Amino acid sequence: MKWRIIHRELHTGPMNMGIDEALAEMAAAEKSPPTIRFYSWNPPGISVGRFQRLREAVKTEKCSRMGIDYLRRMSGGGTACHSSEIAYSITAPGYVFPRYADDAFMLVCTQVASALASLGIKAEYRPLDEIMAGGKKIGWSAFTFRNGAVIFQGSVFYGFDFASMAAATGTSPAKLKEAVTCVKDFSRATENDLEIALEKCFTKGKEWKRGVLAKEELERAEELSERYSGREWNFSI
Amino acid sequence: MAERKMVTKAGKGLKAVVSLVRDRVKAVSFSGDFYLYPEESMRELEKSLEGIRATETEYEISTRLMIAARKAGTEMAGVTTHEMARAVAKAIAEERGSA
Repeated sequence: MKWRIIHRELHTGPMNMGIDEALAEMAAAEKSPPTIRFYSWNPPGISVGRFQRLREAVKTEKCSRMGIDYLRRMSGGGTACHSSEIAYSITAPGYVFPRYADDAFMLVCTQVASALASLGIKAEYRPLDEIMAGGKKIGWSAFTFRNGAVIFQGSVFYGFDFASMAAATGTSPAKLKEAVTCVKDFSRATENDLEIALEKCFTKGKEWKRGVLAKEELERAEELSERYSGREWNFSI
Repeated sequence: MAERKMVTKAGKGLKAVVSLVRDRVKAVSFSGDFYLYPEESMRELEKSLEGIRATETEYEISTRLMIAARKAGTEMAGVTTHEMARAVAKAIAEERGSA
């Protein structure tokens, strides 16, 4: 099966989540090809995992004042900061991609570590879902499987806005700096270099071609994005 | 209402919130940064504990959760039904202790 690669696009957080869910939905129905999509959040934001309580993990009033988006993802896992990152998603039917979380994390996180190695950064996969460099987190990932399709989401921190992200999550910049690092701390690679390195590792051994989002996918994504903007979904846990 | 937070063997956070009425479990809810899918099946796990006696052991609670998960086709990562049961049992013990 031929994979589609979508070059990095900027969208709001809710739209990015809507796109991933739409692609998974349409991949399950065989209306969309398995897709590896690169993206960033504009404006920056914070997302929490499917079973996390947003009001406990995120300082929502501060976020609103600072223009930082916040939402609850469809995928599980923990709190993720979307400030200066190269994010990616893999959406595919369960028969072309590991449908069990542990297998999927092992596969993708080791690919991300290889991509970072190609930029001269010694990184490693730390189970369950983290990518580490120099003893700190440099990338996160998350997973779910629904209606026959996988949604795998993750990112590598290219830079990191410690002040904003610390304020948004109620911690201190110093504490966050103890736990998080970014590509810029190790390498002079550009954001584009990072995306290319990730693309090379993700597509190794796959048949693929570049593509863009189809009109039907965007329309469905816009519908779904409304849920990720609303209180009903975001605060339902 | 009592809640119990714990860190799972896989290093994930798990919180169980339990409410009791007349020594029976009225409601249970789980939250945390673990993986469980299909996501909707979480409700089946929570429902499987509604109405049980507050005196049930951790093992009995774990068995109920395991059966509910099997029936719903639930897959989990970062958390197990045994860890969920432990969090519930500890929350129940705390609630009964404070009653």
